[in-house]
Amino acid sequence: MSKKRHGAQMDKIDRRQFLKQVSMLTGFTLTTASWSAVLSSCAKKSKMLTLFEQDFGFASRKNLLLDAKNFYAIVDELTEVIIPITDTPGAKDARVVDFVDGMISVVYGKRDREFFLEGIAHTDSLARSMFKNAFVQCSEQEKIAVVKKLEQESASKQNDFFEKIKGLTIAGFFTSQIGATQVLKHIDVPGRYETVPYAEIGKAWSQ
Amino acid sequence: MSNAYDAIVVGSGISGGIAAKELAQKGLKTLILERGRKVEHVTDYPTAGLQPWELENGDQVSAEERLAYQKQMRTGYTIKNSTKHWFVKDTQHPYQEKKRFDWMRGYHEGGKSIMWGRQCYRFSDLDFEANAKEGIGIDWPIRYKDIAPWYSYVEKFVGISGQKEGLAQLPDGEFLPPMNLNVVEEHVRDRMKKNFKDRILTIGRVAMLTQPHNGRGSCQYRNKCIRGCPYGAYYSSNSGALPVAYATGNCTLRPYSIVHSLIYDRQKNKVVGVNVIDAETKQSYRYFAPIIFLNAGAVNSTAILMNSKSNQFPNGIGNNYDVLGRYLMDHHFLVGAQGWFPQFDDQYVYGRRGNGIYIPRFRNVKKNDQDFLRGYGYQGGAGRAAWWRGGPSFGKTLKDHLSKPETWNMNLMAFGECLPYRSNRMTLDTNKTDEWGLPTVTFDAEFKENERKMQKDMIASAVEILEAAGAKSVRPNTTGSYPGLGIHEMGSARMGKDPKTSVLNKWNQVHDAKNVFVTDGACMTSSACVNPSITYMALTARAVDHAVNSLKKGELS
Repeated sequence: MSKKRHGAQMDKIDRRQFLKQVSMLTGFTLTTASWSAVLSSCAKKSKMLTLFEQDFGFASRKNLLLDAKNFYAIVDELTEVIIPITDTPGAKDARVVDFVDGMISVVYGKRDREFFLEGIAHTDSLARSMFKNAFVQCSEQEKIAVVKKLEQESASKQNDFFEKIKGLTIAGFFTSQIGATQVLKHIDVPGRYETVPYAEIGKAWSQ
Repeated sequence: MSNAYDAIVVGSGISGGIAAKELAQKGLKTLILERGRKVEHVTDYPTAGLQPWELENGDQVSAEERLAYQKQMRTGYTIKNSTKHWFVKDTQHPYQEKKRFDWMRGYHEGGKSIMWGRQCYRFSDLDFEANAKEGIGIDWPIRYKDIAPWYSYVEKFVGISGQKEGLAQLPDGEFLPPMNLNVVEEHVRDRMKKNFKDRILTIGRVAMLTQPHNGRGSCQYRNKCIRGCPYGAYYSSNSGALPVAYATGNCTLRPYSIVHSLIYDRQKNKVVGVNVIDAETKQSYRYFAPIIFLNAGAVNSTAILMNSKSNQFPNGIGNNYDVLGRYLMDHHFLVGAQGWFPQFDDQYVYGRRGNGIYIPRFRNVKKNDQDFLRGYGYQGGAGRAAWWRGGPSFGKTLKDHLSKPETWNMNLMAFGECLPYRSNRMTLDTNKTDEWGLPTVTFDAEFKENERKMQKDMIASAVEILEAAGAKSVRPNTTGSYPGLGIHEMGSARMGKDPKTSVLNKWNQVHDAKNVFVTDGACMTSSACVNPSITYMALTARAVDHAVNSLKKGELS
């Protein structure tokens, strides 16, 4: 499967398809009202997440990454570069790698999964060619440089792996209990709806 | 005999629930035939209390499982781990499309009343008179005054929160206190008042409680409605009508009961019961009653009539004049506009409101002055997106960005009226049967010129409203929808005055079989532009009243 085709497909992605992907990702009830709000607010950045193709081959195992230990470690590091620990927890704390594993093993179709696995291997080979080191052995700065390279490849439409891993990391992190409750503000049963000063909340709501 | 009842109701969704409740409360021994499983309020909402992190794989279904839901997935928001149990598997319940038709179904006690959008708007005489005035389709056999008391009756039971606005084209109802608009919605409302004489913005009128009502709790603003509400805060058959029906001691529900057809008795010259196939055992059963209500959902109620063939009715009951299955309608939507309101970024919201704004129809209200007939209303709302909007680059920059909400965005999405076209139809394919041996449905329907012209105005006016309200970077949304996606399918067994051009009379009785009532979406003579469920409920309560009065007078025997 050509990497170029992926880039071209992203250009063509329409809002409806994007909406579909986002609403599938968010894991919330989207009523017509909130649904359209999501639609509109996402429209301008419609390149963020490309998940599904009409391809429904599926994996027989639930933890492909876990089974391929070096891939698991690469993704664990990669997600942490995308959402690092700061004064709040990061992707590793939230075990985003396990979310990614479930997504590519169970939710992704065959082509997307293969593309994704290729992307992981590609990340490692970038590290080896740039720094003569396996990605997981690279320093923080080196890992960031590798991910910058991935980002450039995505921006120039050579390979949108970066957008995919970024989309999965964001979704996995902010739907995790750690991301939702320690980085964002989460409330299960609000009990009321009203306008409040932003300063009273001070962060984005988790959902 | 044990399979004889005073009344049979086919289907337990938004209209079947009301039919069963009304019949049972009037003392009739009532049998509900539900083709799916039982769903007990609260107990059978398995995902209602789950947090985002408790939903496997970000709530997305597996690639393997998606294979079963290829058509139900077309909404984009319904087939998730938290909701898939409310929707049929297309592999098990196939249908054909000569033209694309997105037929969304839930086969279980409560039907789509569990997953509905909860928006409730009354039709007005602008709607009831339009066909006659414009020479479109046929005239409705009723007017607003005929249904108004029944709207009030069901609204008081259901509990609708909303704001009275005094509009002729969108009559006020029996409202509980309205939900709140947020600061941007209030701003747009106020600017509209200044900028337009003919347009207002109001909070959505929804079957969601803003105070305890009839033993149900008020909305907790979780916005997890589609999973089933443990507070009973939105109306469903399960939280509302069915418990009341069962409490009378007069009503029972038989699950896994697929109604195959109506039983026509030649000697008595009337319909006496229904043929049922048990969905699990595939055994056939017959149930008998002097009153039968079809509330299986517009398409399925129509299919039952079509499949009720006999020497007397070779094309099915209600189909002597090739009207049945035609004039199928759905609202067209998914167009509008959105824009940004950064001046309010020092404000945010508390809570998640499963409701939005409503801008009532303003086109062709006083007179027809557009290049299309009828009109549309806008739904939508303002909000600030969170992490799902995405962000720049990666690392701390990205994390910090997504830790804050996006700028306020306001979205308007139109729902437009679809005219009744003879060529828009469903038929039964007897060569393609399902696993119960029932013929499957084939759709052949499309939006046409009037809808396309209206769609242009739906987009242009949304842009105009937002720009007049001072929105930044207003962008049109031109996506559009295929018939069915509105999940307001209706009209395939329409009401009318003349048996040659309609299937049902003004009391929702089949012209040819007066003890058979159809009070779901199939009965609609025109679609208006408003969400139709409360109209089905009002027509149902009205029809039951007539049915029971007629039965007492001996008019149905």
